[in-house]
Amino acid sequence: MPRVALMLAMVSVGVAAAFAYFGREAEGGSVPQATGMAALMNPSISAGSVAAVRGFPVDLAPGDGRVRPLGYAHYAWTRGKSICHVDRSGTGGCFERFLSPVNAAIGDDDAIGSGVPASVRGLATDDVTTVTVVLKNGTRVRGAVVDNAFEIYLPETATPWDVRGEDLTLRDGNSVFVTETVRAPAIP
Amino acid sequence: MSRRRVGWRRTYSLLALSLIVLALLPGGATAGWTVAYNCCGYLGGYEVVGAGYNYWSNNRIWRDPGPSVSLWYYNSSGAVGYKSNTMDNPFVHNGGAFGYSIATCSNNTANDVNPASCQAYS
Repeated sequence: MPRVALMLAMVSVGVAAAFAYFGREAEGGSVPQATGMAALMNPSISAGSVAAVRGFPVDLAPGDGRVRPLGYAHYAWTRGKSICHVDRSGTGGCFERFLSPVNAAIGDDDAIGSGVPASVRGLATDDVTTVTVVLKNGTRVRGAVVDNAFEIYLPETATPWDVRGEDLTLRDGNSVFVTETVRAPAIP
Repeated sequence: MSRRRVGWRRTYSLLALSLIVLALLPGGATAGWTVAYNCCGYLGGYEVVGAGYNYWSNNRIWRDPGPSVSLWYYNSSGAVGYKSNTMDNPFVHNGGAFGYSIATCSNNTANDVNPASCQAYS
């Protein structure tokens, strides 16, 4: 009986080791992890001192009460395997990896066509130096990436659903175009 | 009356008393509730769903990263605080500034987003 138990234990350890190994392989690959942003090493500040973070859902708030300031009044913190973040408008969320070199929120902080113009804000990997928002009519609006964040305001007359995508300039001189799909809001 | 029955009665009485105390607590302690407002746990192609009118403090959608979705509020000014994203899970938008409104989430793509859960908090 003890021999059977020992064999079962050895098999269990083997299976666990295999899962750990292949799991790690699956998490690797060419997709940059959300943690791959140098600005996440910026000195942390108290989350309570940032209005946008205070307004964030409690269950997603930083566990240690600290956040890292990125560029353009964007803040980020680690939560498990994810990076959570919020911009000055209170828009954000959590993500584990970049699907493209930028994680963008396209929208308008108030009513469409009045007040603050529509904008494209978000986070960028260390590879991205500039973000150029391209509208469907061909208009291009360029902005620099500062501490892994960008914030680009569109012309006064443009709406979020006029955005065709972002043309990214990478540190190695190459460029990448990220296509966006944004639709005009319908009455719920 | 058996001892066991008396025990249950005491338990129910304590439970009822606790609920009454909870109801009498100041507003801050009991205010704030959550509603998951898209029926069925997914969003159909181009579907738009709303949570009904309330003073929502934030709005969020959970779904696997990839499909473009939007969060916004609908008030007397029309659509306000419109935000779209493909990568965050959850994608969150604080709506404290929009007053009495309908918290809304929508699928910007032709395909179903499944699973998806839209939640609003007051």
